Amino acid sequence: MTWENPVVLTMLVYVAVVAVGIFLILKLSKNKTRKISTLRLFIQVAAVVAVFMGLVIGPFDQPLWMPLGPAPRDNLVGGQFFGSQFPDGLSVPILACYYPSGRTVTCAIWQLQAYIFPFWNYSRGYSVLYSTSGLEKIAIVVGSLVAMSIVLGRFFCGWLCPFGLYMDVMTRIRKALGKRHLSFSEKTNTALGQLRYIIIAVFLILSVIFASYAIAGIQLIPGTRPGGPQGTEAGLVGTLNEPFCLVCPVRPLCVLIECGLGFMKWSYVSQIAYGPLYISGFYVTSLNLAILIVVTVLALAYRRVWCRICPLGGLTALFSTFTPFKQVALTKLQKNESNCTKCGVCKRVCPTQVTAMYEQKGGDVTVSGCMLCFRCVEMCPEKEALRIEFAGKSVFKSRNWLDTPKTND
Amino acid sequence: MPINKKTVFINVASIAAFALIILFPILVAQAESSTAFDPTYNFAIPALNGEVNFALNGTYAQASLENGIWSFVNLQTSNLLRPLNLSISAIDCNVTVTSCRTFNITIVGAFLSFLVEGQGNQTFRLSPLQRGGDWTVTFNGSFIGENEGWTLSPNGTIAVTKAPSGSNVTLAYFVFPDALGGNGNNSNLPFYQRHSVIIATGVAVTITVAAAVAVTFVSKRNQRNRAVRESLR
Repeated sequence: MTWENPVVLTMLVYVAVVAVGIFLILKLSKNKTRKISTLRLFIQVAAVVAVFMGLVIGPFDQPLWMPLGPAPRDNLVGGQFFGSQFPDGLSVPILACYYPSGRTVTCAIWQLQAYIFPFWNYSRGYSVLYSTSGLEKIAIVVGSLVAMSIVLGRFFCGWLCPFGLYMDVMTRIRKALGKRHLSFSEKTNTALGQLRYIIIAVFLILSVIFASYAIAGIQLIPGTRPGGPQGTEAGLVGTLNEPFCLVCPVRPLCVLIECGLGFMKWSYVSQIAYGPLYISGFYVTSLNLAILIVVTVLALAYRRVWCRICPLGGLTALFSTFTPFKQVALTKLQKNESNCTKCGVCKRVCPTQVTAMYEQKGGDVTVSGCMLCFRCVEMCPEKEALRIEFAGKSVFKSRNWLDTPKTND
Repeated sequence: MPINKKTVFINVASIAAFALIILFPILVAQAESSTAFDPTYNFAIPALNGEVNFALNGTYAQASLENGIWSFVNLQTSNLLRPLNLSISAIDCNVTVTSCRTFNITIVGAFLSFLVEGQGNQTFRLSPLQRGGDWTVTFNGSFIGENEGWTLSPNGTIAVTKAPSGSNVTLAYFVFPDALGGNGNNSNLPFYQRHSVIIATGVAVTITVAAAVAVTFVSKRNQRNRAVRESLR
């Protein structure tokens, strides 16, 4: 009887498969320059399964969308285990879209925007009994981000983000086609890195403007006064809330994948475009669909192109690679200058074109653009020139994978 | 192999052990004795020419047929947060319950879906449900107004009267919290309960930052000691 419970059984199988997979890759993979990349790919896939696990547990006999009602997401592992404590999901610094991830975990950008507008004054997010204070909810999201960023930093981007996996799949497709990647100039790459902070600022400011009535009693934008039949939806609220999500490429991708897997009704996506931003069906706007297409095409040419401007990656970097967080961040890329021969392999293989590990003189070389994917460490041919350090302990070091014969001077 | 295998294996084993520890109480809780049913079971109502089936597995403490109504006590399926009592009747039709679940998230409520074969009437009563909620009924995904295909009696019994044969009917019950116009109210709760999540988050952040500062301090001290030792050699 116990083992017939699909949630419990699936969780056990999942944990076992992941553990065995990690063991086998570490044990059997012979290619020293691919072992960590293979492990990373496996963990990325495992993370996506975990994030979207609710979709494979069901039941799937319900319409996905009911007005303010439950959907398959409410039956997720997250819902089962966290109960009513984390209905909007644990804030995580990965692009785990709210609905498809079934609220087990949720993109922190969505939560930050949603708790400003339209849910500033509403008991949204952490059960019926949760405080209605927007500031309190935002503090929880930021607190979660700070804690996770201090522990793992942008490891989330490199190893756990579903959209990061999508970017890597595009890279693999390009490689399979035998095409070489393109690179941005250093100046452009730096500008892209700065752009993500502008994106964060723009969308948070937009959210605050939309929420002006709820926050200060002044309606700066007509139609943003909360009200309506369910107390939250009125005027522009229904279409312009969470502004970044309206242009985020991950949202339509999730919807399309769900439709492809049969978990979402195609009719929600294929409706005739209407309304502001040409919202097409449920969860897709013409804008974010267009951006998804552009990002996909660019990802075929440039490695991890989205990750360079990702506002969520920017937030994670903010809390892990900038003072004062940098001083206490637990996951770091360290360089031993005395072992470096300036061969330049590290900066050539970096998917986001970070050059700090090449240019800086040693010590902690983790910068905001570094996703801690470990690729530079894996490819560095100099023993212990680069290493990944967690909580002061080395977990992975570069080594002479060329296996050149040792000489005695 | 520069990877610290021992650390990796310890971490993997710790995660597996942690998952098992988390799951153990659930496994034990679900092992309580009760009568199991599965999709092969039929609950016939001969007097009303009806039949009730479940397209899902579950358990119940007791099932009885009285006055043409099957009553299941402590019905439990994988999607119910806690056991429910379900009374169900089918007149001149077969009803196959495809989903029965409760939720307690931003809104509180229950959800019951069933397939109808034959042009007849069906009645349902779920208990206990939090009071003050609203019912929504759909036939094949289309919303049906009250008294236009279903009725709600004062004792909470839903009577579906116009579901087409072969249709998928969904009964959804929502209780909206206070801020959404419902009955939820936390103003009488003590401070720590009203702010439990931010307190928990604050504690987690404090512990994380404290641990990170401690690790950084120890790490830097070790580095200094190493440098001193090497300089003495």
